[in-house]
Amino acid sequence: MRELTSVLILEDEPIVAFTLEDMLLDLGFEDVRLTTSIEDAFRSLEIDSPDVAVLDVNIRGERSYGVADKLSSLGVPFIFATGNGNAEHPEGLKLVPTLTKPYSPEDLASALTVASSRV
Amino acid sequence: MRARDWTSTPLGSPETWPEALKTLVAVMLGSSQAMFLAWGGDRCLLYNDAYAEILASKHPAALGQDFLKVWQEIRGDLVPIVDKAYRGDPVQMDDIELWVDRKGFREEAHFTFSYTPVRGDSGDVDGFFCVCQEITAQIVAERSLRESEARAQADAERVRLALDAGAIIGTWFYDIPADRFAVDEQFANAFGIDPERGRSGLGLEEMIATVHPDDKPALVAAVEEAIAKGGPYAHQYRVRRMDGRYYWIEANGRVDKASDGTPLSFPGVLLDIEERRRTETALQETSRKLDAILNNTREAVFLMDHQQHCVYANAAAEALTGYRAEDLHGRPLHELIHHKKPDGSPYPIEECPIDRAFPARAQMSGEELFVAPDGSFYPVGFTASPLLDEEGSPVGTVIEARNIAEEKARDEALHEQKRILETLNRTGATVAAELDLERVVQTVTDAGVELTGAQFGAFFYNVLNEAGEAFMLYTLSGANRSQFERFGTPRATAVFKPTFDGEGIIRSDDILADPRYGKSAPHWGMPEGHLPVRSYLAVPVASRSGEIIGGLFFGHPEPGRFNERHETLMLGVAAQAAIAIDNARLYRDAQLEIEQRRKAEKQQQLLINELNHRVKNTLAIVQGLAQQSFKGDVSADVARAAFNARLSALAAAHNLLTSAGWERASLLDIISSSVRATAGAASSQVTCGGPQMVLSPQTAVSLAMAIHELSTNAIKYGALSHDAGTVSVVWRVTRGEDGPRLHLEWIELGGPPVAVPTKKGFGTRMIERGLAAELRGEVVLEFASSGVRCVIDAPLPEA
Repeated sequence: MRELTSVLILEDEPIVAFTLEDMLLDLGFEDVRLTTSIEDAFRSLEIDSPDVAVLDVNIRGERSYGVADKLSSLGVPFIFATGNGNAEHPEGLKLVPTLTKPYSPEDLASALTVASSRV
Repeated sequence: MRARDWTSTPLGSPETWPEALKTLVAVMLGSSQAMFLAWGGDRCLLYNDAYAEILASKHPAALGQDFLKVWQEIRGDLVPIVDKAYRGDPVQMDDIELWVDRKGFREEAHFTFSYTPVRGDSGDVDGFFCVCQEITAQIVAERSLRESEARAQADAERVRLALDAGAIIGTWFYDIPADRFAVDEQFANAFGIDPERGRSGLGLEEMIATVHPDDKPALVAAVEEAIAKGGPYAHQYRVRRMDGRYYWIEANGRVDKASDGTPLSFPGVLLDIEERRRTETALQETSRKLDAILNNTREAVFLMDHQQHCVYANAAAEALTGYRAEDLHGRPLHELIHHKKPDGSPYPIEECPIDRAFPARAQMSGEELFVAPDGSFYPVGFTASPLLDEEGSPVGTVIEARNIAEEKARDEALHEQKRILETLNRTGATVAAELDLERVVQTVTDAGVELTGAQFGAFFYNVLNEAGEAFMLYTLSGANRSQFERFGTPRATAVFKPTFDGEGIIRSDDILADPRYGKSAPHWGMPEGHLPVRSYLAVPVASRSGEIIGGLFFGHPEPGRFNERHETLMLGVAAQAAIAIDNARLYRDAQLEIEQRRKAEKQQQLLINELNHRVKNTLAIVQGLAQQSFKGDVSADVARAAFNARLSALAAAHNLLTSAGWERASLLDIISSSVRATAGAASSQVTCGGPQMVLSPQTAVSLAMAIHELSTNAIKYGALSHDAGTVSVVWRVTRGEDGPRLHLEWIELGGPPVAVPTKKGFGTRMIERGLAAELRGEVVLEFASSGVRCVIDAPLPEA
């Protein structure tokens, strides 16, 4: 975890996004890149790849799986955070660690650890 | 002879003849016996009347001619004996056969000749004298005797052979005037008569003692009749022989009568006819049995000769063909009863399988159509067997045949029955397994057409649509839908009503003649262009509940096509149909209910999922609000108050969204409800205005939270901190490069002088970053000393 310094957030709900941002800062991330739309997320990835990413699944009615695929291709570990208790991810993303909202900082930390240890 | 002019002959005038000649001529002419003289060197012939008969046609030209010339034809034979006589030697000839014509025809005659040399005055032989004696009668009698002897010998031989063979029991000779029977040894032995007595003679009584008592009177009568009439006699009767048993014999004889008619003799033989009678009886028995068989069998039997002409036909054959046996005799059967085909074309005998048995020398059998005397056809089963002689060559044909019309009708009836059963079974099985209403009624309609032989059939039935309205549908069989479409569904006319009311089956041989037909407006009968219906059969189909589901209707353009059996069949089919339709309806209702329940469950699951999602998101927001509220070095009371206020604002936004089905909220409502929830009484100092527009739930919540933060700040430090301050929230739609934009301003006025906050709290973060991100626009927060001012510029949000 100590070597991870940058993290990308994709979360359209501002209050939830701020909370996550704070949690990640508290976890020691120095560079937290908050995006609230799928286009923003892609744009951010074009500039620079983060060490890890946290993606909300449902972004204004759209799924964030495109971004997930992009992260996979970039070799960036990531986790999903969703309000949907039993979200069914598509083939290839089924094994991605998924947090159910609301989650604690500890849940977040361990999910990130699992995700990054897989890469 | 005397009338002859002798002068021209070598003999010259009779006065000049030598004495010997004169004397002999006198003797000759005086004799009735045939005589002739040959005189002189040239054998001049002289003869008397008797000899003239022998000469026959040679006479009278022969008189005075050369003897050898007269008998020119036998000159060779005569010359030696004539020479011998002229040399002076007498010649004797016995039995010379001559064919003489004395009575106008040539007949056989036999003679003896003796040539006697005659010496003239000189002492030399001058001629010869011949005396002829006819011995024809003697010769013929001798010959006849010889022949008779030979015959008798042959007869005796034959009788001996017959006796030895046992065919003749014995012979008898009945001397009628003496009334005595003489029998031979075999006869005597056969009947236990002393042979000695048999030879000497027996009386009639003795002779018939061994005759069967029943046969005696007839025998005596037959014997008496034969004696009275004369001629041949034959009679059969039974006699007891040595072994004590009676045997059939035949007495065969002849009654000879004297010229005056007196019966003289009655010879005869006894023949053993036991074997013959047995054979005959056996033959008769066989023949009787054969006749009994042939005349009692129901199989027609024909016997054909090698030309395929009928030589025998039994009683059944007469019955089969309709011809009498004598009409069939000697006629080619094929030409009589098998000469044409049902289409009227000739049936050549070369194609006839019955006829083929003869040349093929093989038994043929099969089925054919024979022609009755009236020209109609009837089916027969036949077997034709060739009759072969000992060498295996065909000499005729035996044909057996029987009328199989009934058999065929029975077969057809059975076949029909089988077909009906199969159809019923198939229909039953199909409709029992079928839950699709359309297919059930189609199957039932098809089965009805098949079972009744209707030209077409229809099933009209009521169904309820989703609104509970009754609709009449129909299926057709044997007709196209287009043939019915323009007529619409049948109405409860006088003809149809009883069926739709379930009153029972209606069957009409001719619906046009039915009193109910043609009584209803507007068509008064079948509409124009309707398929022609004469035979009509309609069966109601009633549900178990008693409800009339519909009716099966069958039609045929010819009258009288449906019968009671069809009614019965259709009752069965209608019952099956009713059950199947009930089942199909139940199934469909159940399916519908299951479907609806499934839909409801799915809907419910979706709602639960949605609710779960919203709750979780809301909890996440609440978690965020808590985290933001309790962060940093604020006191617990302040933090709790801020958290409570934020929760209230969130709840207000949620209330608003819930009232609109969580689908949208109007911009005005969101702003005013958020202000109201935060500022309470002070909200009257806030004015809102702008064009009507709606926001999505998520945008609405973010805006509500941002307005809450602005309101809180205004209450704590800004325009709403005392009564004189006002807040104006105004918005308008502007034109941007990428489309319409929302321009919204929060302007505080009349409040205490504003100081720029030393650090940025949640409120600022929410407004500047959160709302901006949410709206994908720009949000500028100005802490001007006159009052806080917040300007939002963003693309027009989509609801």
